[in-house]
Amino acid sequence: MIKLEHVTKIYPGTTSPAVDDLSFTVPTGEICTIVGPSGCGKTTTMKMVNRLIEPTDGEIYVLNERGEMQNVLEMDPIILRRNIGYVIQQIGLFPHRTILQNMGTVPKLLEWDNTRIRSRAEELLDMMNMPHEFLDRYPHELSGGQRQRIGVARAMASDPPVMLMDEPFGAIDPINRNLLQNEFLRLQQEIKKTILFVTHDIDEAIKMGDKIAILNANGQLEQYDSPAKILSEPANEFIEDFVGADRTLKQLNLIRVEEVMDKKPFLLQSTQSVEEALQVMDEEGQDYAYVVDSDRRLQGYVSRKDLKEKSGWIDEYTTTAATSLPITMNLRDALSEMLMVDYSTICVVDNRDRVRGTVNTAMVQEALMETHSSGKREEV
Amino acid sequence: MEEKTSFWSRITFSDIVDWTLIPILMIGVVISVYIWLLLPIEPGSMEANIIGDPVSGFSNVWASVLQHLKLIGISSVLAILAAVPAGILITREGFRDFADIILGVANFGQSVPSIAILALFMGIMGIGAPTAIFALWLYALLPIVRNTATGIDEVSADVIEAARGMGLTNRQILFDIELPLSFPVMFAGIRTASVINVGTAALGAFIGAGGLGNFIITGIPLSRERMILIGAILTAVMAVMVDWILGKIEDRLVFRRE
Amino acid sequence: MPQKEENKTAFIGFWQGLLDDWMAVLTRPNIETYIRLKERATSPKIVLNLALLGLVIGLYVLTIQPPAFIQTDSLLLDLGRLIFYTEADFFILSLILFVIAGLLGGTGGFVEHSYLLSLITAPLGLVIVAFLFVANKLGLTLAAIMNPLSSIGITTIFIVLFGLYAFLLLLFALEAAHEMESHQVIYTIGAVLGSWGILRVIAMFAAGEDNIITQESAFLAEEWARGTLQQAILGHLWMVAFSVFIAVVIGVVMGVLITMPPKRPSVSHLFFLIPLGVFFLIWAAPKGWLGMGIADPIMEISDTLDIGLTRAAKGFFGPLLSLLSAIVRKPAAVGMIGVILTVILYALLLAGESASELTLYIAGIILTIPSIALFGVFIGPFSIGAFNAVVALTLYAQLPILRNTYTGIKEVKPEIVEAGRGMGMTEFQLLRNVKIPIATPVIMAGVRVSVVMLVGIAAIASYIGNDTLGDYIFHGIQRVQPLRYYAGAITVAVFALSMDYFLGWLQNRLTPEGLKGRR
Repeated sequence: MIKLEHVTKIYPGTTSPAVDDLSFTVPTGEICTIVGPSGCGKTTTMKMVNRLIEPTDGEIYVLNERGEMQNVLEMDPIILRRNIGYVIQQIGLFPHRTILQNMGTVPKLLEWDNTRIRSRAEELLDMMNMPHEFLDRYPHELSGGQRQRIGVARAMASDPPVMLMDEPFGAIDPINRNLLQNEFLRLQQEIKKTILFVTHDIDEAIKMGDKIAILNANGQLEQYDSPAKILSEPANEFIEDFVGADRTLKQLNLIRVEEVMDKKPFLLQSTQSVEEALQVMDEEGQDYAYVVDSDRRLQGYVSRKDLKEKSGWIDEYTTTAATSLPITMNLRDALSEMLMVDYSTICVVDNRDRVRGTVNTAMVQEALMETHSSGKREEV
Repeated sequence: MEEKTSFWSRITFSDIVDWTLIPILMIGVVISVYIWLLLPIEPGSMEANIIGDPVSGFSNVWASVLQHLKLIGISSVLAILAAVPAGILITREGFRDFADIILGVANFGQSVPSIAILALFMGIMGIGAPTAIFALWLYALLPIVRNTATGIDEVSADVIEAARGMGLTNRQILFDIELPLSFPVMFAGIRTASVINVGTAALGAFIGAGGLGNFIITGIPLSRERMILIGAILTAVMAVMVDWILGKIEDRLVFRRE
Repeated sequence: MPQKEENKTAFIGFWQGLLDDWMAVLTRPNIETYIRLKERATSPKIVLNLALLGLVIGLYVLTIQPPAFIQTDSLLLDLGRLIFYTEADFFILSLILFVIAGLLGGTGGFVEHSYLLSLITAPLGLVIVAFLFVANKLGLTLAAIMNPLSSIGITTIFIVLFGLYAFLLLLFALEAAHEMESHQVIYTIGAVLGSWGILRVIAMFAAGEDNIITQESAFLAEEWARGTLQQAILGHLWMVAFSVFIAVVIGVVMGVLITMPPKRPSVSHLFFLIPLGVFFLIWAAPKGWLGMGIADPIMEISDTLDIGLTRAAKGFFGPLLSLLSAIVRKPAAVGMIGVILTVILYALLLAGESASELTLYIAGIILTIPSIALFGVFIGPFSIGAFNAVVALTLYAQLPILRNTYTGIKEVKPEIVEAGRGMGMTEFQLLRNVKIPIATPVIMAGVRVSVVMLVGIAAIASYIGNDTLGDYIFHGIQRVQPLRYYAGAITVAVFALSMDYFLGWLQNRLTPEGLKGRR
């Protein structure tokens, strides 16, 4: 848990505060994203937690391993920082040290022995899906995305309960960023850290945050809430502007296909005969049908036109499906996928490629209407 | 008229300090040398024979200063005349391949201490000012060649491509784009070379080239501290002033470029 | 009649073509020009080019400076001879170049090759001869032209520039004639120059007489046998090493201090300031109850060590010990320098980064002061000898180190420092584990500059009474013994170059592995 109480920062030589009377609490095990226009003091807020910047006023508490709320302003900043993971946008890996030495920075400061540091580093590489050979490489031998993973791993080296991340994926190209975000979310499911996550990108904030804190240009907190609430019930015009006119569309980010899909879809077995298939399709009134094998793995689809006046087994007439959606995909990505192909219905598969349901644009629309109306209803 | 006012209004206190501190300090040092070192010389003493005395005047000191300036002036000007074209040449297409070799040889030569260069050329060319000037000239070449080449190399390829795209000829690109842009770097090399020359010229006295070094090298064996100090302080003042003047010119050039 | 007319136009065309080729070489010196001219190579043109040059040289030589080897029985005969010599010299040189170029992978034919070379030799030779001729007619002798101090001294520079120009044209011509890579061209010319040098040396030895090389090596061997050369080398080495050692410590500390945030003065500082001050005072007190009490025993010990070891270990540590004893012998000066240094370092500790600009500015100014002047100024307080030299050398050496330490640490990327700080490193840990390792290559570059500079200055320090390699230079100049000052100049140069090379290697060794692969 991280708790900020009336935190204010006024830089010397300025009169207006960079961060103004900020109070919010990040529950244990959740990610709180801080977002706002540039110069709104979001990085300042974060750096006050590990006291790279000293607050002018207010109190900050962090829950330590022993389950006590500690006032960070009363702690030795060096000790404090060793117990808080810290990831920055430029990564800041030490170029003269190997990956192992980089990851071992904090453990070394905490005087762990070398074997423990090495095994911890290997464990972290496993977590990041990276090979152990990387331990003896130097940062310049790694790609940008790999370096970023190492940066995150380094921050987790001593297993701190709290982590601070300052635009950790900001310097990475969009494709890799998406990948890293997903990977990190999956990891967070396991490690359950309390994370303060600074970003300037509202989409990233919505995607990564369990809670979002939106600051305005004067460093004041405009709204602190869950992403769904912020999208459906922006507190004021500033939030509405900041979130953007497409906030309805953004809500799709928060819904996974799993939640809206047809869980009992109409499917054909590849072992069925053509006659049988045609008969079933007639009954259901479908022109197309997806075909699966005995293990429910997706084989492709058949159309009534192809089957007409044919005989034999339908797998002879199966066309490979152009796409399918992973079950964890959010609706926004799913929708753009659907618009790209000409299918009315797309299969949703799990990570072993088994069909778990189907989804079509009507279902997406329905889900949207639902969140919208629920928001409306709560407003009344 | 308007520009004039804006020029004066742009001058701040720190500018004034920046422009006057070193010259005032150095003038102070020179006046101190005059009062405490030159004026007390007794006419007829050995020092008076070499330096001069308040009665007969200090024409020897003045002549040494001029000789020193002559040594560094001639060698630096000749070095610029030879090194700037050479520096431009080794950045031309077709000569570029040779640049590394030429700069490598020059770098190698620069590592040889100046006193060794002077002694070597004394053996070949005999004693006197020409030998000293030749050695100073040789020694000043590298910084200028290197900085000219670096300066031109550092002009961004985009700028040159843009110029070429607008239809400038190679010669126009050299004179209108590359040289003006590389001038500050080139000038920094000239400054370095000139300041080194002031010190090396003082060593020239060993091979009979005259200059302020004469007072030092005559004073040391004779244990005439006054003589040593006059030579040493005036040489140091000259080095600092040459550096300062060229530094100010360099600042102006960089300023204009912005 | 038409036949004759045709001949006439062909004759004019031939001359016009030759002139065109000259102009092309002089006005558009680049590869394309040479490749184009290659097509037009014919043997008569080469011979004619050289004949023209020979004619002009002949006229110049015969009218202005008739050399002894020409018997002036008939002007025409002499001219013919000179033309023949010119042609022969050219073709011999051209043949040598051609053979070496061929060995190195050149593909051009001899005629093309020679034609391109003659196109350089002839016009440039004519220009230079014309230069000399005009200068002579103006009443200037060759000696006057060669004297850069004379009013026409600039002529020399033009001739040197012409030489440089000709050299570059030669590179192009070879490149075009043989379609070679530029490094092959360099090797070709290098091979010619190298073999010429080797032939010269062989010729010198073949003559069986004493020459400069045998004389010089005999001189060096004699000095070595007497042990004076080793002494000078060791004196030089220890003086440089000792000064650099102190300079590295002080320079790096100062360089680091001016990158740190400013500190408030606190009472705890007195715990080290007061003892340090007392120490220097006691040390410096000339007749105090502890002053000589400390200095004397150290002096005695170093004196006995000095004598004992010099005799025992053939003086390897001798120069170092005499340096140390020279320092111990001046307690007052050491105390004074200690106090000044403490004050400066403490001031820098308090001021931190805010003093960086001023410090570097002052350092820059001190570096411009000529070494001989600094030695001279220090004669007042420190008199002559090793102490003076070590102070001046240390002062010089620390300036590049200070500057490079500052730059090296400042160049460490801010995000790397922030990452370290964010992970809970103390300022000292940050410095020791992150900033200094990353700055090491830059600091080492500063040390390298310092050492190479000091090798030269230590030679000059000989003039204020130190036994270094400079002894040879100064004694040689005083006694007018070229062998002696050549010995000094050569050993000092070799010393400087080998130090440069060694430190370059060391710099590479000390660069952290992870920093090497990056640009």
